[in-house]
Amino acid sequence: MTQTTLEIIKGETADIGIKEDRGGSSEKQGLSGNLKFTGNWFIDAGILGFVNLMEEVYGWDLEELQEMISKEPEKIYYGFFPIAFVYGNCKLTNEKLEPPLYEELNNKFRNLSGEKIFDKAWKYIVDNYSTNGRVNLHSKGLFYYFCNFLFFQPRWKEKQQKETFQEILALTELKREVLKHMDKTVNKFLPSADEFSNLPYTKSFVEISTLKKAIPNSNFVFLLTFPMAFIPVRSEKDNMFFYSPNTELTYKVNKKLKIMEERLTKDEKSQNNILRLTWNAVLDSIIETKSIWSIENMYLVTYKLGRNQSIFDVEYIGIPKLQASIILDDTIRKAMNWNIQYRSKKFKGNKFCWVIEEFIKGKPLYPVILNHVNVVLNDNINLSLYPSLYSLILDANILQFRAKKEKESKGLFSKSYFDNYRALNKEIKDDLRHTSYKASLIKGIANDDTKKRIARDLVEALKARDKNIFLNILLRNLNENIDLFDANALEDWIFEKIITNDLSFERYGLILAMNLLRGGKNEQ
Amino acid sequence: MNNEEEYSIYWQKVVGDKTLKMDLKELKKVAAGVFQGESDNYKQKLVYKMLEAVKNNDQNQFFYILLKAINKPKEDFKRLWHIFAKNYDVMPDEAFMNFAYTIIIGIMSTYSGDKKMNEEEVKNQQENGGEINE
Repeated sequence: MTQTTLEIIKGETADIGIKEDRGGSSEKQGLSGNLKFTGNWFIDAGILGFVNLMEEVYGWDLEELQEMISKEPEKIYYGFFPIAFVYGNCKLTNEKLEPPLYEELNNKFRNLSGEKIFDKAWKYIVDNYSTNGRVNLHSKGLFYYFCNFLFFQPRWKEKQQKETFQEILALTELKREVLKHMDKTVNKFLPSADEFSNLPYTKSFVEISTLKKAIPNSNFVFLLTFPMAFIPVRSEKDNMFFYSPNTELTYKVNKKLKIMEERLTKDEKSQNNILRLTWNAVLDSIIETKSIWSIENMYLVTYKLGRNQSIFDVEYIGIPKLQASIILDDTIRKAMNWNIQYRSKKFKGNKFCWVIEEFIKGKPLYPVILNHVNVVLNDNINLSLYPSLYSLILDANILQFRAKKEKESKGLFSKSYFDNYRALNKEIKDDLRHTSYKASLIKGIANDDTKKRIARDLVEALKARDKNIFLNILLRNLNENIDLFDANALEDWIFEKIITNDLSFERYGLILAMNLLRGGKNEQ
Repeated sequence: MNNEEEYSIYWQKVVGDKTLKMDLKELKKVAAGVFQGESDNYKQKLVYKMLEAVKNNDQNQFFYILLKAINKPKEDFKRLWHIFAKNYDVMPDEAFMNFAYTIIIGIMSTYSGDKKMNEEEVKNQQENGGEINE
């Protein structure tokens, strides 16, 4: 694509209404919308990856980069970017490689425009990063996706590599269906009507023509940079990135995630702490920036690479407002921020459950905690009392809240929605206070061995969902120890939370059973 | 309707021109009130028998035990009679379990344990606990 077409596209982006909200000089040049997220997470990941790459190589943060792009977009896209990209790739195979210097490059690009900038940049690339007539681009590590993609092909020589790089930068018209040449793992995110001929009823959003409109500057560099948005969490093949439609927030959170991730030692990583810390980073940034609104539009995109270039486990985790308002509370969040073991030793696979993640996904926590208590009973592991207690109480209160709302059925946006569920939060806290004290009174019922037996019986009854048997076992055992009824607190609580409560009695019942199992050395 | 009210009224039914409802909270209060004066030992045995009956979902047995226990010409028991007379005929089957356990927990709440209550305390509790709100 020539310089003139670039101008037209710049005009187009302005026309479709992506406005730079900072205002100022950028709008004058018709480059509004640069490096602003588009709303498509895949493209936005590319934008973030682009920012990450430039930051790593030249040390510009988001703000600086945005400023530079608004001043001299061509220098950045056609000059600095290709060099940074090739350098980033070559660095993987040659760690000693020196990064390109901004001053030096800036002098080279002075007073040039469009294709000429790229020519200079490519000369620099060939001089520094090529051997045997080929630029050393490898589809290794992060660049796994680009296995058969244009200039990554091992047989392609420098000239061919240059031509296709120009296509990607939209300096020349696309001769090939570029997207088809991409690894099929990426293709899945870029569906086109041609590729998936068995789905004729829908035209894909992401085709070259639409990409031209959606991606700022209408070149395809963001397809090249999307893997750089991801942070390898447990291994190189297990990556995640935090996404929200807000560019600044996404940038900040991911930066924090990366720093925290780097700080972890290998041991800590293997202990699965990583997710806990990363999530802390997300919440920290959100609480820091006080952008509660944005918590409603967040996703954690994770992927794992498998064999045969297949991709699996891509997860989009939207965080519902109800859950978001609850975890904004420090005490609750800390208590929930634990991994608890919910599968027995024999289970092959993940035995742990990160409570806060389940919660954010909007899943009921009761089954997990029930399994946990079961494992405590059978495998003699330590009880995670507080995470479990909090989980069950949250679960019970949300259940009651929903039932009540259903009764009222006043539509989707009730008063509590706009109130950030303040009343519910208060109820949960009250319940926590009362329940943790009153249910703990049951500890005095018998000695440890008997308590364990009673707990086992109670859990069995809960598993069978038999309220009658549960109450029978409970009261029968309490009846043997009438001193427990001194203060009336326990009996009132049982009456209110179990006998008169058909909706969530299991949650409270399990809390009682847990209290019978208390006293492990490493209880959390 | 606040939370507390929601908990306390377990079911209600319209019979003829009257709304019948079972208020478990009231029931518990009354049960506690009437058994306050009995000895712990006696109540403990009674509770065991009742639990056995509920476990088997044996309504006849449960009411047999209960009525036998309150078949005394004491003023206090009349309160409980009153509630039964009001509710028993129309109580749905599925409400039985909650009804029975409410009575049981009501009785259990009156255990005095090691600390023997003095007469004044007993009287106080009866006055506060045995009140019927109609």
